Amino acid sequence: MIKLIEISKIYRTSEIETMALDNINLEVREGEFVSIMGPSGCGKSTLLNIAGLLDEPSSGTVELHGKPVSGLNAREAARFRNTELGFVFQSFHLIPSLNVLDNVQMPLLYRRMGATERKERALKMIEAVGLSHRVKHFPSQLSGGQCQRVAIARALVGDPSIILADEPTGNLDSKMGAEVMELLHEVNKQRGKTILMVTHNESQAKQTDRIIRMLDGRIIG
Amino acid sequence: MFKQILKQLWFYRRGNAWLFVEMTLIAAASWFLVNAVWPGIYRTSLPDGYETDGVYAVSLNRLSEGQNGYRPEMDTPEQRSVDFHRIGNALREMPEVQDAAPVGATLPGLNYSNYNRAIMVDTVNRYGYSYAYHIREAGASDLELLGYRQVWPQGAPIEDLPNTVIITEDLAQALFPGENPIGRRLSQFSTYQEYGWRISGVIAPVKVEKDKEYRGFVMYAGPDIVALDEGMSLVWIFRVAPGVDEEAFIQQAKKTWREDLAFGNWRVASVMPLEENLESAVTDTFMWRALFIFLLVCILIGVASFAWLRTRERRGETGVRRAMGGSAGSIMLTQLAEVWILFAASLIVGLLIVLNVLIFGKIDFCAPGLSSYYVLNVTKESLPVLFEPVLHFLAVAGIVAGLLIVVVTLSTIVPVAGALKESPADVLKDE
Ligand SMILES: Nc1ncnc2c1ncn2[C@@H]1O[C@H](COP(=O)(O)OP(=O)(O)O)[C@@H](O)[C@H]1O
Ligand SMILES: [Mg+2]
Repeated sequence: MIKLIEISKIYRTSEIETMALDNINLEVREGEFVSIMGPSGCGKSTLLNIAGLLDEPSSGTVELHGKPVSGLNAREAARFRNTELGFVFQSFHLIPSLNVLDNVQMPLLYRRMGATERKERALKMIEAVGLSHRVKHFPSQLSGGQCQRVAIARALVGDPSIILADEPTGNLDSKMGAEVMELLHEVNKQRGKTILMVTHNESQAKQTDRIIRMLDGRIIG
Repeated sequence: MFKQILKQLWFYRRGNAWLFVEMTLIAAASWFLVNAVWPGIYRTSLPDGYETDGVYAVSLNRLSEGQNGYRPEMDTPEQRSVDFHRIGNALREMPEVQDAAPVGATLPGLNYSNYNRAIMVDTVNRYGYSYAYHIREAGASDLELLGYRQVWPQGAPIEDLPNTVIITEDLAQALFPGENPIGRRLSQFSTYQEYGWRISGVIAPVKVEKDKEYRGFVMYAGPDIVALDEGMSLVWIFRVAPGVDEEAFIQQAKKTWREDLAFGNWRVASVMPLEENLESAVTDTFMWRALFIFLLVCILIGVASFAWLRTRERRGETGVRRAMGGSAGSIMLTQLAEVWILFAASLIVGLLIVLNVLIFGKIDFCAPGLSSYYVLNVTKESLPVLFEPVLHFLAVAGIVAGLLIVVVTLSTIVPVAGALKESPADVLKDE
């Protein structure tokens, strides 16, 4: 499902070279819920971004659904992200000028789909994350936990097969964090989505199918 | 998609309101600025009918008391005139020079006045002839040098004599149909005295403002052929002979003529193409034009920075949209559509303001604007739209719209393109 083969990522600035990822090999099977742990700066986000086609590796191959995707051009990559990938970020990354409904609809805007169908699907997703009473609210009028649930609805609305979540509970208190985790487990179990999630929370990680530990750009277990 | 764009415009209404107000005022101000500059492009300091390729102007300075090399004994009107012509003779003797002639600061057809009253032909008063006149400081040699077609006398040069007049063919046709006008007399009466001239030549028509329907053009020689009046600035013009390396010759001239052509108290001040020399006489209008253009550019930079900042602030949004599968093109289009809508609204309001000012202020905006004694103004013939109120307004509005849309579009495209060039991961990281 997700296969990273000999992935390296080097950030070069005029003064320093940072080896963010050093020869990473990783495979995540369909329907698996995998968490990534490791100290800050060890390359977790970089790995997730590369797997999600938001960034390009310096070397190595990314395969999604058994197809190499590293060679896709920008347009094809955008199409792939739109149909196959859903993102959840630590800082939500909702668009502040759009209300909950419009934020959730966003991925569908980039598909050929009628306005009514778009709205229907978005409302259904908003209901699934329990925010039907906040449809017209703007992100600034929601709590962090609610924002993250909007983000999850947005990640799911296009019915992608893979969800990539970068510290989805990092900005939430433990109660809201637990709610979000519950939602993600539900997404994994009931909707059968493959999830790759970065977390700092040991107990959250333990609830997932597998834990990958990283250090200094490498997988250590 | 369109609905979302409107929603986002509304959400950012505070910032957008400022941009709207700014662009509205700017659209209005730009209209007036463009209106002031635009007709200037169609003005000319060179009337039609002259062949100025290869013609250069030598302008002169006169040394005055206290200056190095000044010779008081040569500072008399007679000697000045003699020395002035020695310069011309020296020019004519150069093998690289085909011909040389003295002219005033402007060419006939430019600094004319016009008459619309009785003219006395020989001893008979004729009425209803309007014509433009130009008082000549020098003889007829410039006409030949500048390529005028001589109609009369046939087979002989035009005599250079005091109190003669050269008229154009159309005036000759009107006054003396089918006759040879050479030697006939034209007179005019002013309150103070009678002026009379003997016709010494007829040339092909000089094109001045045609829509004013001057019957012809009259060039009076003063009582003294080379009146070295203190107020008159005379220059020598010369045509470079065929086959001469013009550039090298002029380069050399610029270096050596100050010494080589120093006669009496005359010194060569500059050697430049005639057209350039004519234009330098209208610096004032060029300065105004430059000022207006400068203001316009400042304004445009203002709009650009506003639009730039506005887009730049929302850089993160492009990252999010890309993560959600938006292609570069569609993201660019959303951002552009927003500013275009905003821009169209401000343009319309701005132009309505202009229209109100023009109508209720009873402003005659169809006048050719900046004017100078030394230029031919725009005429109905050279630029008809200028004199047609509705078309004029729309034409200037069109220029303004074009300018602003380019600025607004570029200052949106550039920052968006910048954000699109980076990987979405990097853009999102900045948030
Ligand atoms: N755009 C960048 N330019 C240079 N270095 C970067 C850039 N992005 C990340 N890095 C470096 O790469 C390493 C891994 O970063 P990241 O994947 O964000 O770590 P994590 O998510 O595990 O905290 C860090 O040392 C970070 O400083
Ligand atoms: Mg990180």
